[in-house]
Amino acid sequence: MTEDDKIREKLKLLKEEPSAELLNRILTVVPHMAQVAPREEMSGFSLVRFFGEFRYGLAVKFAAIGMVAVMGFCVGHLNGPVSHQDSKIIASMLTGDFGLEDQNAESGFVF
Amino acid sequence: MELSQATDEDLMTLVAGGDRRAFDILAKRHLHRVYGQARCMVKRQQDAEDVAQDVFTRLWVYGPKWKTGEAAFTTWLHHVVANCCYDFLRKHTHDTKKVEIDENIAGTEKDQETGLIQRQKKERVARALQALPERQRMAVTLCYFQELTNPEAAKVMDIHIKALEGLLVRARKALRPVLEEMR
Repeated sequence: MTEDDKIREKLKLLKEEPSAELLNRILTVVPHMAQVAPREEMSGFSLVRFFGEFRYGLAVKFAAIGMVAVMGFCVGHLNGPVSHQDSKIIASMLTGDFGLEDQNAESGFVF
Repeated sequence: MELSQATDEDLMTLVAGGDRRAFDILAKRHLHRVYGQARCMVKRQQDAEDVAQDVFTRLWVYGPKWKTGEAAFTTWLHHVVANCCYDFLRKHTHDTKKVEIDENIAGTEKDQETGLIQRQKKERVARALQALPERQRMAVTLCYFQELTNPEAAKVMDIHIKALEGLLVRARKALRPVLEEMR
């Protein structure tokens, strides 16, 4: 006899017949309850459904947005302000006015 | 065709349409199965009866949502029973710490005939089963008490078959001392 069979055999000891009173209770009480109509399959975009779903976990969503904002603020402050010299380099990179000494010499900006 | 000879799936389709006679037949046909599973999962007879009633209430109330062909009726029913048991145990978490077996499982009037030893054995098995964690108890109940196959039990519990096997291994390990003791 395997271990599985032994467990099966022991569990047979717990077999109990449900009382007739239980069956009567179920048959008299339950069928008088109202049945839930199946929800119609929704297709396409629905504003009501969107807001319904948006409300799910709203506190977590706002907390996440708030946390990202605070982290962004902190990281921004940790790096410090960009220096004037750096600003000039960035500006020249953006305008394409970058890399040639003679061109930059005219504007007094030499690498 | 005679309604009592109809398949579970056909009866459930009728229940979905509000047929009370079909519900009566389904309840009579499956009450022992539902009650048996609930009885292994909860401690008191009264609690198992409440769970069984809850299962049939859900079966009736949410019957219109039943879709033929999605799953076998018995698999779906076991799934509903499992959910009802979990819900019940969650609502009564304060009771689950202490393993107390009520008089009905320890010995009903019928048991008195089978003798004290049998009654003690029954009580010991019930205690060992109740001492298992919920999911292990459910796995044992489905595989050994309801005698479902592992793939069926895994489907009922909504877990992978390997996860079910893991639960059964742990449960067997926990039950081993009780089985040894009872030889």
